Amino acid sequence: MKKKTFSSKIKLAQSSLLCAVVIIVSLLESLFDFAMHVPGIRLGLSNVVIASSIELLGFVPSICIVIIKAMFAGITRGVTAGMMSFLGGILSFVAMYVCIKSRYSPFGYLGVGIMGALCHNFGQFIGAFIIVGDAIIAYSPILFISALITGCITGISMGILNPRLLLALNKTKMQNIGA
Amino acid sequence: MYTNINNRKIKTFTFADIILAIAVLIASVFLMMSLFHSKSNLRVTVNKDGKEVYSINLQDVSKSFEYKIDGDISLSLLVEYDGVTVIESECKDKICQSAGKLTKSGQVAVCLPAKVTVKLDDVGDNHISIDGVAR
Repeated sequence: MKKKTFSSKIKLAQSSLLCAVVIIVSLLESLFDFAMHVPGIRLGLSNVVIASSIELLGFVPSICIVIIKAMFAGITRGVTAGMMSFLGGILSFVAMYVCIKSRYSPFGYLGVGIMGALCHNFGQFIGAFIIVGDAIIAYSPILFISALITGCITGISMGILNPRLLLALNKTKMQNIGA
Repeated sequence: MYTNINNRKIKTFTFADIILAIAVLIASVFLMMSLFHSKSNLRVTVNKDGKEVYSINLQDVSKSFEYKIDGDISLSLLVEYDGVTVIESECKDKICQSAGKLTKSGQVAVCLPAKVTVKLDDVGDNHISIDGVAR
């Protein structure tokens, strides 16, 4: 029983850590322009962190992280940005969760990254469609191509980061519980 | 309790990933070919809050002029005979300005904070315009 409360404290600490990382990463990537003249395209590095939180912590903490990120975007960049971040975040979270956790999912980390980016763009597309109407359809090829490129980048980052992160965190957990 | 036993082992690259990437590439090329086609007879449409507030055929523009869209966040457009540019926007994102000069049918400049879209349409053949794809 004592062990269980201790481990839930670790889980809480890790959730809040990853939450802070998501917010900082999304703030940082809005500072520098990844695609110089394509409007509204960002790298989506927060998908990497959310993918590791799915693997590390599971469903509920990860969806909380997504919601807190959307709230942060809503506070700092306005209600519109918050709603777009929420729609994109929830859709990409669901896609990545299925791709990572499903027993029958054929995708590796690259596919998880591309699916996450695609669904994130699709969610934002829906949000923009609600706001401005069908003129936004002309953006869809740009969104597809940018999802492919940014998805490849984030997917490879996941492939590098996630196994090492899981290994390191599991090791520290075992040490802490053993001590 | 913290072991990873229930998770499947995830590789970085699988065959399905490559198929997915190729499918996305083909879909985007297809979308681009169906949406962007340059024609001579172009029409500018300005929408605000989903309603059309201004439109002009570029053929009728003999001298370039500025058009101002008033609102909480105002924008100015430069309308020329061969295209339209968002030259000034009060919002801080400047995403609509970075769209540059629109010269082809199907191109848009969008300002989400002002809820304004500037769109180029082909009036020559309506049946393969953007609206045709949307329905």
